[in-house]
Amino acid sequence: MDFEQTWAILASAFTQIHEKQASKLSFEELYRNAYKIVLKKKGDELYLRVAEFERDWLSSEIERRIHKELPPQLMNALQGRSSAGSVGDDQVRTQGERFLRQLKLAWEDHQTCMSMLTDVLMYMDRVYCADTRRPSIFTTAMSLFRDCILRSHVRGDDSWPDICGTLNHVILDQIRMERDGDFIDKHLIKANVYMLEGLYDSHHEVEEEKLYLTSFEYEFLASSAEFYRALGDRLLKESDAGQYCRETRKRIDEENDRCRSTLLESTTPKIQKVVEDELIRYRMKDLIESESGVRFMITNERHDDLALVFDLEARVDPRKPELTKALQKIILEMGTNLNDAAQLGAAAEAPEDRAKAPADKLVNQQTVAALKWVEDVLELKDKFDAMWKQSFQSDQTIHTAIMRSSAEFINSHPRCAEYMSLFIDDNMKKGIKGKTELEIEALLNKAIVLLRYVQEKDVFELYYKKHLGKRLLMGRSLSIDVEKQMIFRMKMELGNNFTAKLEGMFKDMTLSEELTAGYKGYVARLGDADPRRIDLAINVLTSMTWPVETTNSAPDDARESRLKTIYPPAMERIRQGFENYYKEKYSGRMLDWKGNMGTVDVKVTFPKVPSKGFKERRHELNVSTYAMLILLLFNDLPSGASLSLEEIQARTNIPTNELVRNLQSLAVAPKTRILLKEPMSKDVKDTDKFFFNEGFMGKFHKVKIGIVSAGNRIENDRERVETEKKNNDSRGYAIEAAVVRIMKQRKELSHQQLVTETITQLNSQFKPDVNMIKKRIESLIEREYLERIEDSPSSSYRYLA
Amino acid sequence: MAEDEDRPRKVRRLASSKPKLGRMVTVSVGTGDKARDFYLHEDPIIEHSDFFKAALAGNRWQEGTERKVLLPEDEPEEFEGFQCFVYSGLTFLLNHPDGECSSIVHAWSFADKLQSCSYKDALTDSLALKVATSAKTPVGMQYGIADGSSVSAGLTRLLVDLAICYWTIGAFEKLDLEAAPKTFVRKLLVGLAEDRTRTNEDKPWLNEDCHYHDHGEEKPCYKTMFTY
Repeated sequence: MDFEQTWAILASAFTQIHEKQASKLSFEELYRNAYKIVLKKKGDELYLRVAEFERDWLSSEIERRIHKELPPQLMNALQGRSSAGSVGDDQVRTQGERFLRQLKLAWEDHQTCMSMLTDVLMYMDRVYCADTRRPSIFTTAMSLFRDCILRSHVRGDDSWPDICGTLNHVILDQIRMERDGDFIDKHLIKANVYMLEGLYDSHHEVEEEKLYLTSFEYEFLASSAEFYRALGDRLLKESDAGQYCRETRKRIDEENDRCRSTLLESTTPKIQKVVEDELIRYRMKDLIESESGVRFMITNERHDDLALVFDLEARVDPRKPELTKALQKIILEMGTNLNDAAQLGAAAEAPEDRAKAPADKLVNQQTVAALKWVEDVLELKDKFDAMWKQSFQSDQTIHTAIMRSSAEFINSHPRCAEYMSLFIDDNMKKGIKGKTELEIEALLNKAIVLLRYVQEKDVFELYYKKHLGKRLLMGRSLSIDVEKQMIFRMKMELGNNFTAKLEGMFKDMTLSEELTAGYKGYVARLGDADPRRIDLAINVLTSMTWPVETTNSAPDDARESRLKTIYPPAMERIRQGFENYYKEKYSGRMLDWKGNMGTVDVKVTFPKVPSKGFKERRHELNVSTYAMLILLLFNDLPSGASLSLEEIQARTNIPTNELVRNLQSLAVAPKTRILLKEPMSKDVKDTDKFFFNEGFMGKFHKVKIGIVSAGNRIENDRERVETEKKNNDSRGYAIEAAVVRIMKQRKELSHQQLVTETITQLNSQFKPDVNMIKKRIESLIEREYLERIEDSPSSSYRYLA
Repeated sequence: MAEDEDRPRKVRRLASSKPKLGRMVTVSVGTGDKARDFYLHEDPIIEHSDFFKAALAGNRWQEGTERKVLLPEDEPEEFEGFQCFVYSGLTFLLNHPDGECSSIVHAWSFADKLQSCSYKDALTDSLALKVATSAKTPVGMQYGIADGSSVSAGLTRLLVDLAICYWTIGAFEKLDLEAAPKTFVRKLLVGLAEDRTRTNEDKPWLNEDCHYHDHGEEKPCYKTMFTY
């Protein structure tokens, strides 16, 4: 076998193959010749000859065809890319497409020919190349295409980019046109992209060295970043935030489509990141804070736009930091506005020396403002809840953010606990009237939700006890059932500890009803059937359970409160009677009568007043126990006689402030003027004289004489100081209890740990003040519950059993 | 899938698993008086020979357009052996003047030319089987292998192993270094060096596995290709 002869046969056949005239060639003949060369150990030479043949073919014929499609005009346009898109854009575009088409054709031809050559040279590939570890002839031929075509320079000029660089320019130019709204031949580009995907940067055929990655993708991403940076600038200036979001979404979708139809899907995550970086990550803050940003959207209820903002930021960061930050800021601002409005509504406190009546009016105004504040808070919360569901896909992070900032502004209102309790109080007394069960349920839920925000649960408990106490004792609650439901919910939310005393109050009420009935039966059995006997309804309250205000409304009048109120004999008898009955049932308990809390129905006969043409009139008056005592004094007085305030007090021992209040409602309040005062003024002074008003004229048979400011309302300054002091005391006890509990269990602990654990334990009730904890620890050391550990590096304590 | 040997071959089969036969192709082997035409189904010979696969692919070559392949320089008897293998999965061997073993080596060279991995492996197995069941070990088979054929071929490896294990001193003395393929000699020397540690039990040609096969990971073993 002669090599040169055999090679000549192969070479001429290869030429025919490249010229697409292979169908007359016998495969067997070519295969047999190549096979024989290899069997004769000439594989090496054959391999080199084939490579040489391909190199010649590519760098003469193919290179010529490609370079022909790159006229100077196109090269210049691509070079000075800044001027592209102006004059001759269409022509450049057509020329670019022709170049792409020619390159695609060359590549596809090369592949077809090489696959045929590979078949002919199968034995060489399988035996020679495998044994000597050479790359297959196909691989070598592909590298040749890269070196001879893609790395060649047009007209041999190195100052212009090579074909590969030119290809990048042309493709990027086409993509730019498409981004600007033109239609381009996607398939044509895709074919060229496949070529880059099929070639490698060097003879190492590793994934990362694909030409698509090393040559094209990098430039594509860089130019895209540039494009989107400019677009972001323009959009922020020219569009509102909603439009910006919509445009961004559209662009992201477009880039996804582009990767699918024009480039490669492996680029999708990378270009997405570029768009997300340029249009979202680096812009989110500006976008959210822009004039038409999140604040505008919230104010104008642009739920769809908010959803878009959420969607966009969620793409780049699951924590959505900018949106969260903006929301928190807005909620806090809106909340602070509510707080300020409530303060404004409450206005300045009444100065001490002003008349009582207007002061009360002011207090009522403040109460209204407090209720309005709670309503507003609820409305704000509802607004953001709805937004959370509608626009933020009920996202957990956003929820936490809303909760936190709500809690923050609510707790920054110093009287939030009191206001919340007042809100429930108002609803229990008026709000739930005529509401369906479902509506009441919703209301209770709202109340609980608000309660969840309040940090100082102990303060709330204090107010709730006070308000509930008044509701129960004065029968002001519309539905005991709803009251109990409320307590049940609190129990579920805050635990048994929180509601134990509140439940005790209900128990006392039930027991009292039984006692009243029992006493009635007891009296009946005694056989004392005095028809003029006084009916007695009694409430026995456990002093630890009920708030102190209810049982002692004048804590500053300690001296007076020690004086026993003087009851008339008829009353005194009943009092004794009940006390005897009670002691039989429960020995060892002290009963303390609260004249300021009770009410009495009394029948009063007003005489004829011929001068005014009045007949004799009977009225049934509902008055406080103290008022009853005052009125009874006038029974024994001749018509026209008077009593001074001092005299009344001497004969009844009613505490001064209570006496003044009762006299005000009896003699000053215009519609219930059972007594006349001299001189007639709003203030009650020690020397004032009181007369029975024989000329009283009531429209109804029954007249209710309320005590001034008896209802639940906002506390005045003095009361609040009182409440705070009481609350601080009870917090002190709670802290001490917690400290002792912890130390009993741990025996020894450092100061820092003890403080931390104490705060954790008490967190559900209130946020303990660190100074207070320190003081309490000191006090416990003094009382020898704890001792300091002397030689410890950090200050530590030991529990003393 | 290979049939489980313990069970009789099932006669009922699903239509979806029927053998693919394809169009008929004429293969004309030899020249002059000895020339013979064979008529075969296209699919099985494409499956078993990469040469036929390339020759008949589409209309690239004359063979594809004319549905006829000429093998002027080969022997009709060898081709018949390949044809029988393609339809049966068995090797049918000629009476070679140098004995059965040499005819196996001849057939192997033809299979190598046709790039039929399955036929090559089946032939190698036949040789191993022959050696395992006969008392005398043949010595001249290496001369039938062309020097330019694959160094790593299973057959070469088997021949080297057999020589190391069974050749007598006399056989080594008689080895014609001119005629023997250089690859074989080099492998034999390397093998001898390695073999100084090998024990007698370690005779891979007695195992019916793919030790001497050329199919590698990518192609199936011929044993799994015949399911009928």
